[in-house]
Amino acid sequence: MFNLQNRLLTRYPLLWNTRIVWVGSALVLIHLLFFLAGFIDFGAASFKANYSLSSIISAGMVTFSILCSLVLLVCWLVFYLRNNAYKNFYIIDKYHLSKEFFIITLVLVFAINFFESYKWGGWLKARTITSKQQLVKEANTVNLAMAFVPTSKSAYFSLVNCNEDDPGRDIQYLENHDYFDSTAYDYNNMNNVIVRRALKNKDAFSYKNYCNEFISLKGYDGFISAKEWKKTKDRWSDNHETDSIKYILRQWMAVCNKYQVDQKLDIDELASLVFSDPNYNVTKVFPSNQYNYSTSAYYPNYFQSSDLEWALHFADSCQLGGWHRSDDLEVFTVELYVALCLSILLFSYRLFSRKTFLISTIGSIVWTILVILIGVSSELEGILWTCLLLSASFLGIALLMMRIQSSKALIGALLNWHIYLAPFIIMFITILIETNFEKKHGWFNNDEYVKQTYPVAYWIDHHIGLIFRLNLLLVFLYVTFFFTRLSKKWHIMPEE
Amino acid sequence: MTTIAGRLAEVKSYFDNGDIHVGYRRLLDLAIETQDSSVYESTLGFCNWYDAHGSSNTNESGSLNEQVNTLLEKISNAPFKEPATNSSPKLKTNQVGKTYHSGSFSLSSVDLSLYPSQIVGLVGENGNGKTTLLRLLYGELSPDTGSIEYHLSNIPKRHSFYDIKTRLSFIPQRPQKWYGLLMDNLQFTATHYGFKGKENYLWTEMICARMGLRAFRGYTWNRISSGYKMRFELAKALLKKPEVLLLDEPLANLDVLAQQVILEDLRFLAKSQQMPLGIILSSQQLYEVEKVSEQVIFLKQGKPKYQQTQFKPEEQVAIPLVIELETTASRETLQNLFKDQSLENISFNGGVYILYFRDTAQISDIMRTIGDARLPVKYFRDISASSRRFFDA
Repeated sequence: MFNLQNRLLTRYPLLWNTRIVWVGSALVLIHLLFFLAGFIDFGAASFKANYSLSSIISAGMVTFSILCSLVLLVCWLVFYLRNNAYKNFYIIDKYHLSKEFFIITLVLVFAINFFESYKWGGWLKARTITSKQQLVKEANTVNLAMAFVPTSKSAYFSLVNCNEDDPGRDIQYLENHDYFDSTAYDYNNMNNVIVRRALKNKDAFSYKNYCNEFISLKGYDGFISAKEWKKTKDRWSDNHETDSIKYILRQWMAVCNKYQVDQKLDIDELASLVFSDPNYNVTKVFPSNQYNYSTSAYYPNYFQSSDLEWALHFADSCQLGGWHRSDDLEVFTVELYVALCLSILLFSYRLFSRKTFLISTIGSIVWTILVILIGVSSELEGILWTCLLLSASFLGIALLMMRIQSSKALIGALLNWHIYLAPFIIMFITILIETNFEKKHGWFNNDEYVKQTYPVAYWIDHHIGLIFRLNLLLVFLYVTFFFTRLSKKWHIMPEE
Repeated sequence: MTTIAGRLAEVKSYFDNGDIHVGYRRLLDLAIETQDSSVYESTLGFCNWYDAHGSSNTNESGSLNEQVNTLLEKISNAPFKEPATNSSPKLKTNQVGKTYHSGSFSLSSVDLSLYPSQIVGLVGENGNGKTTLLRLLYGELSPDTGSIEYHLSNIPKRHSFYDIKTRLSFIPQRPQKWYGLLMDNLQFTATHYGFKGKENYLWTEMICARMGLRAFRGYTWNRISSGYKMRFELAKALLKKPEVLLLDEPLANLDVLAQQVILEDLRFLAKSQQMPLGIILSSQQLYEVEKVSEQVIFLKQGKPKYQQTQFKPEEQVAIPLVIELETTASRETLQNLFKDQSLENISFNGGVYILYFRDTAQISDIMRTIGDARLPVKYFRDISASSRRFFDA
């Protein structure tokens, strides 16, 4: 490492100055450690505890990650800020500052989100535990087996069916509703009349009625739809195939055990219950919680169905992975914004004198407070317009003052304020366009505000993520190729 | 005898006569002039030997001479490049003036031309515009009147003032604190000025040795004294091979011996054949600056007075004799003593007398008179050609 650093010092001073080798190595190492931690930490039991990939990261993990970022960044800055060829008027190439900004941004992008690696470690482990094929197999098993594990009678109601064309699918059945209470206000409601008629059937809650998809997978080869497995289930019932039922239930239990789903059920009892009624009616329902809140007692037999549902949903969400998940992409975009803003702040410290930087940062706080105060007395639009106006004014005044060789410190501060606002300009413009089109072109219809969606607003609304991500690139290029030139002009200005 | 041959003989004589410290520095100057990697390597080997055995080790003195002779032979065989003959000024000011916005101070029109190998001294009391002039020359201040021209080589055709500043070196009175190791900082500077790889190491080591910083290569800012901080700044400036070096009070905070060494170093560095350097330095050490400067500009309340300190024989002109004298004798005694020596005026500042004579007066006559009268003299100096004359007694 020392030899490499020495080689960089005598050949590639920018790489040596930015300590990219060791900070890069440290970043890789820490990300790897977080990844491994995520991989090791995540187990089969974690499936039921997470509703999405992001939920793998606990608040404690985020705090620890931020702490690691701070320690690394402070150590890096101690070394990085030691030398500055630009401020010392050393000979530098045309793109020296652009390259430096790129390196700063690169370091910050990877230094602020170690928790992401933890997440991806967990993600990989989840996919290792349950592959795509396994998930399909488990989903098919669970969907079929759940027909023989009644946790509520409603799923077995005769009007429930899998025929998408059947108008009866719209009928609502509520398990605890008394449909025979003639005093009820909705007694004669069409829905209730139909339900009441169905309830009078002798196979109102037959196992054969069940065609509920406990877990629904989309875009998976081999996933068996409810319509298909219903036939199997009905055949087993009709043919009294207890062994087949027991077999699927054993497989189901294996899935439950894999994900450590809390349950206490007996397969023999479950299989025998299917045939306990001549019309295959459900005679016993198993609670989906061990604890009875009304009696404060514990059920002897129960099945924590939500655990299995969550576990399989989580396994499903892990199969998508990558950046196809919109929430992950949004989080990453926010991280990029944070990294870019921090890079700009650090870069301004590198480009401008300490005095100017101090004026700029304190001034930024003052401006922010003032803008917020303006915002209190006006709407969001007011704040956005003020920010746009300020950004343009800062640049305009700075250029004018540069031309007349006015106060160097003030010009530096104006340039800094301009660039501090740069990441948000397109964002503000986008929001302003969107809100203006929606507001001005809507109307009231029966006390309801109806928005007219104009093509521009519609396009923006549907591409807002893309716009925000493109903005990152634009701001990066703006700083790299335009702002560096401005700062160089500022740098050679005389003090007075 | 060629100039190089003369310098080789000069170095040899220093060592032969036991003036080892000055000989060591001149030897390094010569080695640097070769701009030859193999000479640099041999020189650094010699430096290692010198550091290990030291100059005071009399038992090794024979070995020292052997080492020196070997190195001198190697240097003599090195292909010296023909020195540049460009004698146009590198920096020129035309009636440059500056008034601060606060209006507290104003620097009047200064005319100055800095040639390669020339040292210009800026002297004057505090707050009289020395630093202002240096900052104007470095572009930290913009002149209100007049103009500054830079005629530096290796500047791109389409250049900004940044490019000019890369070729100027300015060492302020209080240099900025630097971080990290001394050697790393020097190598970092050298790399930006095109010294890559091994060449970088050799060049930096040579300048480090020349500035007496070898022992401090692994030191940080906090661990070195003010004198060595100044040497570090000089080393950093030299690594850039600048054509113009601006020094603001480089002698402040240095002890008397260190001041002499630094000034001597500056004189030799400026006279370098391969890398001639134009130096402008400000200082309160009037006599020391005058010793090494070709021209001295005395600034009083922002107004310049020019003093040529080194004259070519054809430029010699008769100038009035001015003597600075510290004695316990009274003014009357002095007036009586020198009444026959064309004494025109005496001024006294409580410590020393300044005696002004007509241009016909001879210093030898004055000294004879003092000797004959057995005048108790503590201090005597001819300041006829010194800007000391411009100071209030």
